[in-house]
Amino acid sequence: MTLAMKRVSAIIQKEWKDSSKNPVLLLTAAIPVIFAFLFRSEQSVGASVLTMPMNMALSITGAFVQAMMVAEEKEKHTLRVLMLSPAKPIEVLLGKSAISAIMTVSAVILSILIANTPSINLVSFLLLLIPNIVMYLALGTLIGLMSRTSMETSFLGMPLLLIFLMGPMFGALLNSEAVNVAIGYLPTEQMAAACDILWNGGSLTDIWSHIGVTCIWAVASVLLCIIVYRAKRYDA
Amino acid sequence: MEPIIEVQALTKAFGNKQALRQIDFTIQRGEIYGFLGPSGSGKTTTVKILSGQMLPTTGTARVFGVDIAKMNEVERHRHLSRIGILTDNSTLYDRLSIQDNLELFCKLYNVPSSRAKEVLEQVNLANERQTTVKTLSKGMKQRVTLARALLHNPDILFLDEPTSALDPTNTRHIHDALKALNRAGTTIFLTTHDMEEAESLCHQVAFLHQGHIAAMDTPQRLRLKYADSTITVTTTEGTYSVQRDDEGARRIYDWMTTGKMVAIHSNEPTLSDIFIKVTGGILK
Repeated sequence: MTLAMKRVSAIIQKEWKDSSKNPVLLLTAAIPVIFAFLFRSEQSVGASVLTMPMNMALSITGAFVQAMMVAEEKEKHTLRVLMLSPAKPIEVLLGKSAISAIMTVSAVILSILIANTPSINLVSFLLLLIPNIVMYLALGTLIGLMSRTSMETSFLGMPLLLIFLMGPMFGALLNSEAVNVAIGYLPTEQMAAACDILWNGGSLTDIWSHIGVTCIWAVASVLLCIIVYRAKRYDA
Repeated sequence: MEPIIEVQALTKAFGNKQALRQIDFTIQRGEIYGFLGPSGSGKTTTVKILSGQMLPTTGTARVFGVDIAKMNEVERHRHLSRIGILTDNSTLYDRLSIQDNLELFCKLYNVPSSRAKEVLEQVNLANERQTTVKTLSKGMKQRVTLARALLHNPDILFLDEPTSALDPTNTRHIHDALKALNRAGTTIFLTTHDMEEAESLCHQVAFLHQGHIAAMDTPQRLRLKYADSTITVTTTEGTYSVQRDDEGARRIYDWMTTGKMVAIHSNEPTLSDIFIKVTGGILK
């Protein structure tokens, strides 16, 4: 094992021990699973509703758990100590993101099972899921870095959550074509549209554009996250 | 003597506010160097620059012979592996045990886990290894933080107000550990507003006032330099202030030969007195 891998592994172990003793974090991670029961339906509903449980799992568990973890490190000045150790920024981020990623995947799987979401081709789904997870973890890190305390993550992250999850509803109310076109590019809408195509007999080639748009979101979020991380890592 | 930190014409500005103004100093390997000044005088800014957390606006700061502002990633990594930092904030993972906190950093610094026990013995906390950090007192947390800073045997230890808000007993524990470390060869850069702490620990001190160094020397030389010209003598007949001249020497001789002398004190100022004299400010 290289030194870099040892350092990432050490941070993952620390995050695992720390997260398992943090009830607020565990509750936040579990919220989408609880919500999944509300979306349990046997009736035929639209793709936006059918994908809501997994989109909630991605945004709440993915972004908010990561945001809380990063914000707490900042709040307690431990992020600075990590940055002053030989661990490189990418190692710290990977170590922190690994636990959030595991929690997010678990929440997505449980939400799908609980909400009776129709089955979907695994390869296609993974190609949709991976850039989504990367994007939400990057956005979560961003929210965490911008927040002064872990409590403040809710305040800063809520607008994002509302736009991503409730955007289509707001769009319908505004009755503006430009807004609706913009909403169509949201990652949550890309997920819903891609799943709709797959549920209606489409294949992987039919959803490349949706995967592509989600990947652009992921790359943009990661770049923004790196820029803010470099500026904020010693703030505290 | 080998210089380990060399600072020349260092300035740091935050917008219109000038935090450091053209400061110069050199620290030799094995020294305990005290950077003394009130809150907001630029002490923490200096530590942040020297530890690589912040770039100077102008001037140079060389640590281990490398210019902090021009370090590449490899040099930066080497720099971080050779320094330890202790601030007045706890910076520990509250939900984890002392052992878990130290083990994480053993792995990050690539030192054996057994090192955790060694450093805890140094700060007198070996028996508390399994205790969760959040149950510790502030003084104990500070000792754990010091233990963590020592895990990789740093060549330079940066201490930013390490004993502020600690009780005298815990302060004593920290001071004893620092003296032992320094005897073992660690260079210590200490910022403090506590003059007694500086007197007890430092080989050399600098007074930082509004971003510039107002005076710098060994505590003893500073005391002699700023001592007044009188000696206080307590006799069986009363207390007298005697000039350091022939007449004063005769009076002291008389008191001694007639058995009236009770006590004699040179009126050396404390570092706090000197700071006030040099800067016109007070320390808080």
